[in-house]
Amino acid sequence: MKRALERLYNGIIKENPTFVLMLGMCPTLATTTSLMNGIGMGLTTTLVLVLSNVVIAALRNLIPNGVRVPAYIVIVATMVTIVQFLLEAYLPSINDALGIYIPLIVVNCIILGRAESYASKNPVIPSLFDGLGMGLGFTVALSLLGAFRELLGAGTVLGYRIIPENFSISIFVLAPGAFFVLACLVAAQNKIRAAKGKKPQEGCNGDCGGCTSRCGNPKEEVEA
Amino acid sequence: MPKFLKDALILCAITISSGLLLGLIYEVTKAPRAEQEIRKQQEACEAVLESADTYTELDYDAAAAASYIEGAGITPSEVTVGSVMEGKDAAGMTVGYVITVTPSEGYGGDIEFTVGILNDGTVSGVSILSIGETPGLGMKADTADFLDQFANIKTKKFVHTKTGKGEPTEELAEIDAISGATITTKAMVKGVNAALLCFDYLTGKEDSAE
Repeated sequence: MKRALERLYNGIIKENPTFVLMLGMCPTLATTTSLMNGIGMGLTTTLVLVLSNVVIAALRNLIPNGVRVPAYIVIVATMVTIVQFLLEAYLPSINDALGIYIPLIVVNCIILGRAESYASKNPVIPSLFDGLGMGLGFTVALSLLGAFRELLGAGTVLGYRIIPENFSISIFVLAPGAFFVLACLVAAQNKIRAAKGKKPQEGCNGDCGGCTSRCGNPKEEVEA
Repeated sequence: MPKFLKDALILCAITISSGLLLGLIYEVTKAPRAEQEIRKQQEACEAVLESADTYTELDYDAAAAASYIEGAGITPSEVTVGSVMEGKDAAGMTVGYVITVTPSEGYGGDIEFTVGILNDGTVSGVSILSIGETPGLGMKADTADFLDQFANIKTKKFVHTKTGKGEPTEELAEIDAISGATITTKAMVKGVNAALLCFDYLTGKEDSAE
């Protein structure tokens, strides 16, 4: 139980995939034009992340090291397609809202990243919570980004008007706005971390457990 | 057994079982997915042609319709006309048609939408099926403010205007362009015009057959 909570905390705060690991930037920038889109993309990714983490953790002793990446991609693509079929058949309203984002999840590097760095080395239950934590962290980040972009760019939140239309700055719902908002949010969370006495993370932070690069010399790089 | 062969066999086994699983799920969800597709089409029809009760797909000569529309100045590379649904009331009488058109000259490419046209040629509604325009600009095409401009107007041709629309006539009706999204507006107007021409073709052909 403690390990499960630690995984959730790790995914949402400590190693938030968007704000700290900087993974999955393409869907982050592309789909957060509104709060609803951000939430939708986040939750769908969470579902796929949990399913693929569980399957990969269950098969971790079976998958040979040499062909692990193709094996992960096959598993992730299968999970995404299954989720898409199920949504199309039984939850059409969610499918209508998210339809275009679902195929994008196959190429989301968070999923491959978690498979490689966590699910392939840990048992099923912690992997499930790792997927859930990472997914929720992604959802929180996308929702924040979507909320700011929708508020500034369209003057609404979840479709409710907050700022009069004449004062909205439409660049925020266009591609450059995504970079502006993301940069400001990352800067803000680094500031908060710095205030708490934690160094803002740049590249390698010496945490080999959660790293995929396998460089083998953690401390040197951080000090250099 | 050499290592590479073992690796390849395991990967192959994973791929085959994934394929089988997908095939299974595909078959299990096939019927409900087809139902949803029909329901969606039905809803799209209802949105633009309320007065009909049932909708059946009309079998028409698409190539001839396309050349008729091209003759009137809209080429297939600008707008393609897709399926045509015939709307019938409870008594089985045709009340109008729902025509799916896809103009390809939107700012973000294709825009697919349905146009409902009553028997007398009045546009009863326009509803967008898929659109990928710029959020905040061209995406405003998918709002009631814009789409309702087409509804309940009987005319031969729509044109867009940036200076405030006047009263529609039998020959011409003006549509207020979306500000900052003239290309989207043009594509939408062209699509509706193509649907009107397709309607002309369909009804014209019936007249000559009688």
